Amino acid sequence: MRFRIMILAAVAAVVALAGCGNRTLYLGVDALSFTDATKLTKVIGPYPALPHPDTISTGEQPLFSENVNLVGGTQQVVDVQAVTITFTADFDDQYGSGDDTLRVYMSDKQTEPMSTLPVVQVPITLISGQHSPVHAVISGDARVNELFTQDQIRVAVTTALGVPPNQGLSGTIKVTQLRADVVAKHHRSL
Amino acid sequence: MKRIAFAFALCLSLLPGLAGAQTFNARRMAMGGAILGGRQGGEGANVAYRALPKPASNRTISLPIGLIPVLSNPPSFDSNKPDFNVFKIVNLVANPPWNLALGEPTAPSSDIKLDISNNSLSMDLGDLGRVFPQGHVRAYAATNAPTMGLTIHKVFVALAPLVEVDNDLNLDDALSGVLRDGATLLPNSTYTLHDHGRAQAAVALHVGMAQPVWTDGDRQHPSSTLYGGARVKLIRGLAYGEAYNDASFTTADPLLSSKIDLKYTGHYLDAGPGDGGMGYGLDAGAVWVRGQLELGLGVDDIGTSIGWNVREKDAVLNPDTGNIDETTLTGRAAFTSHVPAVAVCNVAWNDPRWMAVADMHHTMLATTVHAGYEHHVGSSVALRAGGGLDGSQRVQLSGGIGYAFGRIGIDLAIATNNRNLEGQRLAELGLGLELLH
Repeated sequence: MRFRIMILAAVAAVVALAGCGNRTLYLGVDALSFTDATKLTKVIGPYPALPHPDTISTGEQPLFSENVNLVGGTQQVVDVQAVTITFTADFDDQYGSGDDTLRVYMSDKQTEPMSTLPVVQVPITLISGQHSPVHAVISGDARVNELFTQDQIRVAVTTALGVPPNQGLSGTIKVTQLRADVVAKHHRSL
Repeated sequence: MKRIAFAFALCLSLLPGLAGAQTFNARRMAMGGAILGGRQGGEGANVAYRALPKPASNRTISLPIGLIPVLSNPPSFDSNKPDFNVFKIVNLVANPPWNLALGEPTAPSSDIKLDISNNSLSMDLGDLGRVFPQGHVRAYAATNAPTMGLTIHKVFVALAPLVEVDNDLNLDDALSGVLRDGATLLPNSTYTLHDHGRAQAAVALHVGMAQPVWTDGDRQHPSSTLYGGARVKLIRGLAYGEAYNDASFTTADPLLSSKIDLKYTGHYLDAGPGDGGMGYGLDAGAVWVRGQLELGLGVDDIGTSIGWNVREKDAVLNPDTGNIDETTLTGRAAFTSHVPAVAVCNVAWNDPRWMAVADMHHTMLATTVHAGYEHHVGSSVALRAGGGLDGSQRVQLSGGIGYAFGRIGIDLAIATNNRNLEGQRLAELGLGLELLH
């Protein structure tokens, strides 16, 4: 917390000076850096190709949920104008087929992220022996913009797997990027 | 209030060209700002100049043409207004708008980029990075010249304000690299800032005398004369403030965890008008004139000191509350402040058709050098040029023209300077009138 106060002071000074021109503050946040790297990769299955009449549905399973520290108090000096979330992942399907839905949740530090609406939701089709890359870029969410004025947010990524009847599935899912790019302008009431 | 004063001192520290002061006399400005000799502009720096005969042009009026654009388009002090520009205001404070600035410094215009990850934080401040010092930076400004007084025979008495501001800001290489060069803030690293600021204000009564002390040859028309002068200062302190600020933080591993330790310690001294005591000081100088040659050496504020009863406090950042806790050490402790001495030497050659001048000022902050030349064309036109090294050892150039309409002379000067927060080289125009005999 003390460190964030220091950073806030520095950033406040910087942004106060930035108010002299029509300049923009670009804040890039590497959210994955706050997560243990071992949590970014998850082995799926194996679900053997045995006869099963119904689709196997895992339901929504968390890959990870982490706190991400930001620069607190920026709402007093800047107006966040846009936040772009970039999410990339890769599903290495070793055998079998199915589908998956990856979701990214973001919330304030008091709220369970998965109790909010997902910021990113990407359905993917899994094909045996192939990689299924995921690349999603999302912006224009006012709720997310508001989150990035706070000193800390919570981020969660989930997977929800479906294996069709009588199919097997085995693979590895790896989250490779979760980045927020914030565009802010000087708040005139400083 | 202390925070405002501290912030103001920091702003002053960041002004790279503060040591290069504005010249208000257009003729002197055109000649590099050098002391003109012959009792023109040298009295403040060398008290012995008071003994020299008054020059032919006995009154100079400097015109504040820099006020025109400021009054017609005043800067906005309201941060809610779209034209609010803190750079403009700081530059205005550092450069009172007497001379007309030809152009404005280009405000830092690049965007600011911050990149945050769990183990690093980088700040690319773009143009703004230039504002932060590379390591150590010191700013010093003093006003200590007599303003109004009277002369009885060879003795003169004058009242003078004394205002002195001195600030020394030091960022260590790591912090300077982060702010100025966009270096990445790393885990398990310590970044430190040290600042020492001091300001004092007083009023002084000057009593002095200047006269020829040695002549060679005919007493009415000596081939050479040595003039000497001394000025005693009786000073009454009005306000004093001094602060030592040490701040540091050590980053944690991972960088943005909550284990980072921010440390701040401060030591403050302050005194108000009721706590000011008496002080004394001495200015002394000599000027040797032989024919058209003139050599001067003056030293101001020899042993100048002021007594105070100061309140002394220690301050420390409380890690539990995040507040700065102050402890009063003494309520009224005897303390003596000092005003650093300034030495000036100058040389001038006064030919009826031309004049060459040069001087060197040595202060605790810097040594500055000025030189200039004036050439008369006909009976009414004077062409001038000059240059020198400012307080940051940058070359500055100047030039100008003087034209006499009967008993009134007009002087126009143009000179370069870097007196702005951005440290950019700009030019300014000076205008003055001379009432000639």
